[in-house]
Amino acid sequence: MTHQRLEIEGLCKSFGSTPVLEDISLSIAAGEVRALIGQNGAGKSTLVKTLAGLYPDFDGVVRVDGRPVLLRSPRSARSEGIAVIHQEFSLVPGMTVAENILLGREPGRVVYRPSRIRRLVAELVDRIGISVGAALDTLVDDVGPAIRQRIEIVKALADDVSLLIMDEPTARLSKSERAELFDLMAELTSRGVAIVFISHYLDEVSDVTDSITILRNGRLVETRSTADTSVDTMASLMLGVSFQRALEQEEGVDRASDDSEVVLRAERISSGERLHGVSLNLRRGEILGLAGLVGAGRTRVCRALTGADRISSGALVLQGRPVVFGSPRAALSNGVALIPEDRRWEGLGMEATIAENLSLMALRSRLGRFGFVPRRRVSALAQGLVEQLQISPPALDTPVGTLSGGNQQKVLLGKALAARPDVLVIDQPTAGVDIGTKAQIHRVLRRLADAGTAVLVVSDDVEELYALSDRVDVMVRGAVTWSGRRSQLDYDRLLELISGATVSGAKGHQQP
Amino acid sequence: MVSTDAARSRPGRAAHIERLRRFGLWIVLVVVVVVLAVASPTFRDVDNLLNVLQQNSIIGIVACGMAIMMISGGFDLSVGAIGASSSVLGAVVAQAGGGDAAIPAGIGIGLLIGAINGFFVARVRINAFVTTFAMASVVAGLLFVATTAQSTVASSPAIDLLGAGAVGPIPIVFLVFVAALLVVWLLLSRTKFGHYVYSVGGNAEASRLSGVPVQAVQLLAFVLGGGFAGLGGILLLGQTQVGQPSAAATWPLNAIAICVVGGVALTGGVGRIADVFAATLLLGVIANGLNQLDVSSYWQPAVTGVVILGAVILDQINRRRRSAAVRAVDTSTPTLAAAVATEESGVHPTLR
Ligand SMILES: Nc1ncnc2c1ncn2[C@@H]1O[C@H](COP(=O)(O)OP(=O)(O)OP(=O)(O)O)[C@@H](O)[C@H]1O
Ligand SMILES: [Mg+2]
Repeated sequence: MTHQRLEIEGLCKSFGSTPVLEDISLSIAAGEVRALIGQNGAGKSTLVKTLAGLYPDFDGVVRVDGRPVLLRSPRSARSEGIAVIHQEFSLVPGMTVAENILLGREPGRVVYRPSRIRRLVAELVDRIGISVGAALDTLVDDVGPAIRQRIEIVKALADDVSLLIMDEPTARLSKSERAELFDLMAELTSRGVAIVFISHYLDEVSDVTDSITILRNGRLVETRSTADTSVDTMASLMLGVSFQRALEQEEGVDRASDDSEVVLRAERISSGERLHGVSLNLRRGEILGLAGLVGAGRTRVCRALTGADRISSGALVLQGRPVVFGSPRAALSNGVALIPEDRRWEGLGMEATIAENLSLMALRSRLGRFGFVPRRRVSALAQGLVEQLQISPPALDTPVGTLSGGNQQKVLLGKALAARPDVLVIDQPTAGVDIGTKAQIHRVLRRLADAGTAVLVVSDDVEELYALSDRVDVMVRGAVTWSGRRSQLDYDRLLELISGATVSGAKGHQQP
Repeated sequence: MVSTDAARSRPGRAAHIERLRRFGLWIVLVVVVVVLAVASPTFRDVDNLLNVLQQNSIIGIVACGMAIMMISGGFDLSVGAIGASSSVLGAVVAQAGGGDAAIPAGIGIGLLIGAINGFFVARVRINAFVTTFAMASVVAGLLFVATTAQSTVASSPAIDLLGAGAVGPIPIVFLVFVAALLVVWLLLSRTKFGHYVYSVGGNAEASRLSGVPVQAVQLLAFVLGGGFAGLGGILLLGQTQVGQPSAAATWPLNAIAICVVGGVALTGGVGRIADVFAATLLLGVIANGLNQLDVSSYWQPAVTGVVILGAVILDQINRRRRSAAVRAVDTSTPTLAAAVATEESGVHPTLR
């Protein structure tokens, strides 16, 4: 029999009187990669946090290498060889990359020497052989989400690990970075490390894991081998009876029409060092997909269109009038809303309730005049969004900080929807949400377009982008290289265009 | 070595802004001193300048403790009550014949009240405003009851020396202030505790996930803050020879003002002790200068207020410029090649 790294028996965890995990039992062998899948709110992160030592008041028994362990604090969990990459970033702004990597385990008892930290981290990076992708003394505030994710990984591997738990590590990584991560995982398992891998990308799960544990509503449904589980089976086990309805995709109607009005036009805008003279048209009632590799400048476009970044040359024209947005707030009061890529970092009010968060952006434009906000209207608005986005638990007075990661994402989406913008720019609409909710968010975006909103979508998930868009613009290295109707483009061609293959005989028009 | 534009432009501009941040307050201080010295002959008198040091050292010491608490994400409105209790207790001990034991007694009561504050903030998770505001009333109330609002006139030789003595021309309180600055500087930059003060103030949740003993750090920050206020109370006794229950009422806001002018963020995670030093001197010099220029004392709070606002606005502008300089490189993921190039180019400023 192979050696069991981790054994969990009868684990229960509740918050107050609400049980979140009930009677979880599982075991993971050395060198095994175990997927943990389940809907948003199923209890995956709660299980992870319990193993990380953050919830010492759990019931049940946990054994590492056959020894029962207590898991009283993050330190005690780590001293048992359990390393965790949390779903939320655990990085401290104002500190450097190196300081963050060693945070909580600096050498020495009392004295702290910055130069020593830097050297230790450099050695560590050499030893584990993954690059951070940023200078070690850059502030973490100054690096993008993918690099933050790498920092988290290096940080988790800073000690000897026998069990590595990764809560949605790929949600922010590009395709090549994912491949790198999977290589690293393979190397770790060859050394006998057991890995728990959480992801909402089921094809990824079927590629890189050995076995799958499915959670539903805090209970363990089943553990089975990945080899004989299809993606459809995973989905149906995760979602239970609601499976069929949740995955139902509406037939994509083509909304693109040559005489639909252009609501927001970007004319040869440049911004920063990565965006060179990009022109785009956002049309009323249409979804425009902006395709491209990570680093192609898509996020930059989203930010430049919505006042989040300054435009250095070129112009924005909103409904025929040239406009300059000094801030996202100015853009919003002109009906242009942004849902940014890195939602957690940009922040929700974690102590505030679902209703308060949802109504925040709408306060100025819709809910009240002269600063008075009728409570009834706030809750009516929030209630509608909670139902539309299937936020769970649906109680409006739940503090957002206690929601599961995917449900926090939904609140952020709802916040922008509440403002009823004329133009909605959304960067990675479904990162971190489960497949049932993903279909639901697609439905919401389509309905928004049907109601006349101009929508711009950026997504690393090319299938999603292809399925959603009426028109597609392709960006390569800071410039738009192809632009046209989705109906003129087949999926493989889109993949080619994105990778920057030379454009030949495309039916859409090319831009210089 | 591959060098990209990104690698070159970013350290350049950011470092420039960084230098401004680092020395900005000192430059302002020098300018203000020069202007006042030119405008007022009495201001530039050496005795007057030594007087400025004598008068501002105590609040500077209190601000040292306040800075630790603020960087850790809290602050303390009870430092005044702590200072009053410390000087009253010191006087009572001295009167009872305890002599120099009054010094540890005063500092001890500060540490104790600080520990109670820290317990409520870190453990019970009541916010710092409510906790320390309530603590200030409770302590002040108890103090008035215990002393029946009477002052105690008593001191000890050591206390007198610390509070009012001088080494050559230099006031000893000022030397104590400098020692406090050094201690806090060492704590914040050279100990794990200090490092964690920044991390807890920067993001308490992330620190907790990383295994930082967040509660212990917050608790200790308040204990130290209380200790420095207690020391301030003893020095006050040395200057006034009297333990007064109503003393030190202006300390909390003045100490917070010094920290804010010194660039310590009210939201935590940011702040340098050298700037707290500069800010103490700046506010002291301005108050003294206005006096020397015969400006009505009614104007002084208004001027102080303007200085505080000005400092905060400058800080905001700097921060915005800095993040703009960084943004100009790119917010989205840099390619690995660019990242490697940046790594090789070496120099990188940090905020501290
Ligand atoms: N601190 C807390 N207090 C109260 N309830 C909580 C707390 N943390 C989590 N919950 C609840 O526990 C349930 C499980 O949340 P958990 O974060 O484990 O879900 P998840 O499976 O990780 O979902 P996702 O895929 O969205 O990340 C949710 O209903 C959530 O609202
Ligand atoms: Mg989760």
